[in-house]
Amino acid sequence: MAKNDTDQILKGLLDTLVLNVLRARENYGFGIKEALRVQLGNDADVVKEATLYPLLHRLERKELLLSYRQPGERGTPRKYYKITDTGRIYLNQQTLAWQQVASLLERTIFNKD
Amino acid sequence: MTLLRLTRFPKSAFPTDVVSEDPTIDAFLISLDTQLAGSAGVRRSTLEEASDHLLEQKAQLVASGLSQQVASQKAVEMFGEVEGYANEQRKERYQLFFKMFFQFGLIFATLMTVFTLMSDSFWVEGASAVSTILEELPMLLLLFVFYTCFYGLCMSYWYSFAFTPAKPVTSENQEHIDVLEVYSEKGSKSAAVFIILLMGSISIASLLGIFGFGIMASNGAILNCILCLIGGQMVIGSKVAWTRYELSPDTFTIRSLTGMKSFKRSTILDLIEQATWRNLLSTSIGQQYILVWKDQNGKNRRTRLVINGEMHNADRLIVALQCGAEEAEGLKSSSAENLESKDINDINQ
Repeated sequence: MAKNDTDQILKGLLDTLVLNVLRARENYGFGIKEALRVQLGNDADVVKEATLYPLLHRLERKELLLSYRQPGERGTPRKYYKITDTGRIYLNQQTLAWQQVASLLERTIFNKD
Repeated sequence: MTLLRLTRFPKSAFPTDVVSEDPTIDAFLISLDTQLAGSAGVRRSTLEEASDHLLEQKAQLVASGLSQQVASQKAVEMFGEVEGYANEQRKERYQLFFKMFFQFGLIFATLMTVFTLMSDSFWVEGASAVSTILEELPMLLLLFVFYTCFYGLCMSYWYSFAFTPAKPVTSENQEHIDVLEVYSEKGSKSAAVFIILLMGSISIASLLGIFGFGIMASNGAILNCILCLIGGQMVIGSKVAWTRYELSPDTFTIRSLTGMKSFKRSTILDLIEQATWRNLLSTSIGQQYILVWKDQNGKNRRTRLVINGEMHNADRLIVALQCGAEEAEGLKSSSAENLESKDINDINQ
């Protein structure tokens, strides 16, 4: 598959991945990016900060995330994001949808029998 | 660009308190700032988030062995294009502006039209209601459009481009370092005094008008009753500027002009945001929430809270109270969550 196509699929998956990172605990932008970098490994380049922050703000507008600021170590406030109940429901739905896609691929394209 | 400049009124210059003292990062932030919409306060929150990220990234790169200068350069490169990031911020602000314009404008214009129709001075003695309305229809429509544009423009501009939430702060009292304090600054209290004087005067004038005295007498009894109630509610609602919330690891305390209430955090079940129409009906100065808690007899109780963005740490209090309830829920479903998260990890791998 071409690199661009892979990037498009990963970008489509990004909402789910970000919510999944925040399912465990609240986190701030850099922390979320680092968690994604660990999970995505070689595909981590697809998550640019210039993409991640607008995505976080969009998820917040959709009330899937809540945010708050607290005084940071360097004097400037740090913004934290936390998943909401609606966010958890959306994440569960998305996870199910991706599971169905994975299962479909497993039964068709990856099926060697 | 003219539209962008208008949104940056009154201060278009780079907010100097965001300066990181790293020339490469500061150059990036200045370049980002020139493309952001909103007042200095609105832009500051976007710049602070970007600055925090760049400095964290830089620290990580320095720890991995890069020099300070190379690390700054790499952090900026990794962040990506300024244009895309700024474009999203502008889009977000403009969308909010149009949404608020119609929401505020239409509500205000409808209210004003209803008030006009309720006023005794609108109706011509001897003429039928239908003929009076038909005769005055062009004027009513013109006023409706004027109110929509005027009020919608003022309120949505303030809400989208000018309003800045209060900065998060830590407790000044070292003994209360683990207590989250939520309170309004002096400026908000002065604004509340102004509202009390203005709305109090309207309320008293309307009350006199009900009995046929003063400048509001021509409004008629019904309209004066409504204005008197709205004015009174605004006066009562303004007391929120003197309300203080304190959240410690064990207790949530509300201190207001009318007294003090304390709740054990373990008894707090939920914090529910009230619908917009309920906010409008009770004309509170801020967003209304219902705190749901359990009393000693295990019965669910509800306490009304008003929280607004001019209070320090307001956003953190909301998250903490809402999540306190969620965490209790989370314990119940932790086993199910673990199973689900395992599935998600499988997909990610």
